[in-house]
Amino acid sequence: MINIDSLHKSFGALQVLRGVSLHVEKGSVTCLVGPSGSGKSTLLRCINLLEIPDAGHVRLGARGFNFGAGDRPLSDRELAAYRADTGMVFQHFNLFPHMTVLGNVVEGLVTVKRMKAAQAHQIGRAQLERVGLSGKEAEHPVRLSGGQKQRVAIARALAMNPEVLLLDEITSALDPELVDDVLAVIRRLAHDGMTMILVTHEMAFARNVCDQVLFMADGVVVEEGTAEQVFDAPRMQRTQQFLARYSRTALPVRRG
Amino acid sequence: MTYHWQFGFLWEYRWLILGGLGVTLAFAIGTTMLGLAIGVLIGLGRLLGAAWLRVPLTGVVELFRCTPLLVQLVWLYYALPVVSGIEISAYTAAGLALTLYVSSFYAEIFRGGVASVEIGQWDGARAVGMRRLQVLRRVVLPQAFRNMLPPIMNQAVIQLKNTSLISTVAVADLLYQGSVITAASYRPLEVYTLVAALYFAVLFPMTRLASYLERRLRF
Repeated sequence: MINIDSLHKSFGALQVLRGVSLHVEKGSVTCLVGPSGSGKSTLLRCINLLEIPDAGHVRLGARGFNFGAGDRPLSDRELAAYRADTGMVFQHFNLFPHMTVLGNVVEGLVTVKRMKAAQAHQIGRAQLERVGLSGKEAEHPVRLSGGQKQRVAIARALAMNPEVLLLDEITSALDPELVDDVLAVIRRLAHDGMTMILVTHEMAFARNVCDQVLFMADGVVVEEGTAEQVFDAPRMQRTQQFLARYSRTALPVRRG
Repeated sequence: MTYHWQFGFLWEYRWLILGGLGVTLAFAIGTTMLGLAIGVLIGLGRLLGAAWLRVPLTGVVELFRCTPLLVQLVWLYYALPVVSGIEISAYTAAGLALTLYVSSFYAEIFRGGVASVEIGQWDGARAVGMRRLQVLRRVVLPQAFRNMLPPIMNQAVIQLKNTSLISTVAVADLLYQGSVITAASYRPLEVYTLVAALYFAVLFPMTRLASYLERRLRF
C-alpha cells in the first residue's frame, strides 16, 4: 500500500539517498535500521514529503507522486493535503508549547480538517486514553516527562486517523526508564493493525515487533527481509558488522 | 567655583515644558505603533513574498537601518522638497523619518523572532497537514511574538529617546522647549537637568515594565 521507488535525495553536495526502494503492506510494521547518516530519517521524511525527493516515485494508497527534472513541483496545498493522511512522531517531540495537551492533539482536526471543537475534543480525549494519558488534557507540555510528551505526540498523530504512522527514532531522546512506556504504546498500535514505519535503534524491540526490516547504510538499502532473516541470519557483511555491535553484552573475562 | 542651582524659575515655564513633553510622547507613541505595524508587514512580505517583493523590501530595510536617523530627518525636510517638489512641514518630516526608521528595526526584530522559533515546530505543524500560512498563524507567530516582546519594548525605549532629534528641525518637543527656555533664562544647567530628569521619569517605568513582561512570558 506504500510504494517507494528509486528515491534520490541530496542536500547540496551530499548525496543522502542513492536509489532507495521500499514496499510496505497495509497493517504491517516496517523497521529501518542502520548507522547514523545512512539516510533512514531522510527516507522517512520523504514518505510524508517533509523532504521532497530529487528523483523517484512515492505512492501511498491511491495517490502517487513522481519526482524528477521534468516533473511539476507540488504546491503547498497539495503537500499539506497529502500530509494530513500521514502521521509522524519525532525524536524531539515537536509539541506546540503554547497549547495544552488536548490543544496539541486536536490542533490538526480543528485547523486542517475544520472539525467542530466538541467533536475534535471527543476524538482527542479518546486518543489520549489510548496512549494512557487521560487526565493530562489541561497540562502544558513543559510540565510533562519525556515519555509523556512522546505519547502526546503519538496521540496527536493518531487523532488525524492517518493511513500510515511514521516514527523517527521516537525513543532516542528519552531516559531509559521512560522508553518502555512508549514502546508499549507502539506494540499496542501494531497489534491493532496500524501501518507503521519506524526508524529505531531499539534492536530488541525491532526484532520483536517488525514484520519487515531494512538495513540501510550510505544512502542505499543493504539488506532487507523479515526480522528473523535480517537479525538472526544477516547475509551481507555490512549488516553483520552493524549488528555485531549490539550483541556485545558479555563482560570481559578475567584471565588467570 | 560653586554653582548656585536655582530651579524655582522653571515653574513659570511649566506649560511650555508640559507641552513639549506632550509632543515628545505623541511622536514616540504614534511613530512606534505605526512603525511596529509597518515593520511586521514588511517582515511578513519578506517571509512569504516572491523575490520581486522580498528584494526591494530588504533594500528599504537596509536603507533605513544603515543611515543615521538625524541624516534621514534632515534629508526628508530639506532635500526631499528639492528632489520631488513636495513641500512637507517639519512635523511631517519628523513623523515620517521616525516611523520609517523604527519600522526597519521592527522588520528585523520580526525576522529574528520568527527565526528564533525552533525548526521542529514547522515539522510538527506540517506533519499534521497544515499549510504554510496555517503553520505561521497557529504555531510559529504566537511563539515568535512572545520571543519578540523584549526587543519590541527595547526598541520603543530607544525610539522615545530618538524623538529628541526632531528638535533640530524646530519641532516643539521637550528638548526644543528646553532650548527655548534656556535662551530666555540663560540657565542651561537647570533647564537641561530638568529635561533629562523628565526623559528619565518617563523611560524608567518603561524599562521596568519591559523587565516584568519578560519574566512573565516564559512558558
